[in-house]
Amino acid sequence: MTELRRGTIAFCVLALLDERERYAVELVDALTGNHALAAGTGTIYPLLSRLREEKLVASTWQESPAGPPRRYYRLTASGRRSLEAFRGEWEQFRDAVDQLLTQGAS
Amino acid sequence: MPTPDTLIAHYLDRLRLASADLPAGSRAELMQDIGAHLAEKVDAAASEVQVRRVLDELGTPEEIVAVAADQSGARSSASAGGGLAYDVATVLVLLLGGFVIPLLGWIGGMAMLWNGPRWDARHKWAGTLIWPGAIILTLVVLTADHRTSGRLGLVVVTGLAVVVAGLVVGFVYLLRAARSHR
Repeated sequence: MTELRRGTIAFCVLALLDERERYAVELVDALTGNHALAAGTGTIYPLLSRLREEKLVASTWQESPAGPPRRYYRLTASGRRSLEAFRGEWEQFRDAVDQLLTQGAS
Repeated sequence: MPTPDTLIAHYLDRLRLASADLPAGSRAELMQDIGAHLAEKVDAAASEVQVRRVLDELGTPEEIVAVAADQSGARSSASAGGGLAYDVATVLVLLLGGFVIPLLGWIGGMAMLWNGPRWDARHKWAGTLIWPGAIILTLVVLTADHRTSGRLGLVVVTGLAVVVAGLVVGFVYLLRAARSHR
């Protein structure tokens, strides 16, 4: 289950960044807020590093109104393409799994 | 009773230890990100309980490093072909470059070593010190030989054998270290 979570969480991050740019703690709060990300929120950071390395997101350090500087993340063009591709695949996959699960339950 | 500051310092120490085997760049980035996260989540007035909660939410340093190792493994396997060639070339230039172009060849090897993405600071220092170490040891052997001039051959032969073995071990160590990060 953790594998499935981790694989999909990257796309949840991309989807959140599709709305607007955010800094890491905002991403963590949004993901834990709807229980997409369970315990071990620190694991989001290696994930963000990979997304940046793969040029799916870009980041810049910005001053915060109060407190330490923040690294803001935003979606790149290839990040947006990757997110779109995932949206299509996810819908098909979700429907297929739902169908099998409800068959099994009845 | 631990203060919030010591709790955080202790956590970051554990993270630094746990991440020793990550590629140097990933490790520095992770330390920076977690540091920024804690600075954001913990303000000066935070109580011990609040700090403990923030640290619990983050997960253990070991858990975070395990994911980081996974991710950087996935990343570097994509460029494994170029990686192997670079690592072997670096070790060869470092080992033999000085014979082709005295001193400059070795300096070139050093530049490749310090730019290598698959060695951390420990490996880079080890690689840097291999030749100076070998040269110093050789000098020691030769001067020792001077003093014990009676049994000339034996000291030189064993001494130089130790130097050559040390060189081989050192360079094999560098290659293995690089392989574990490919």
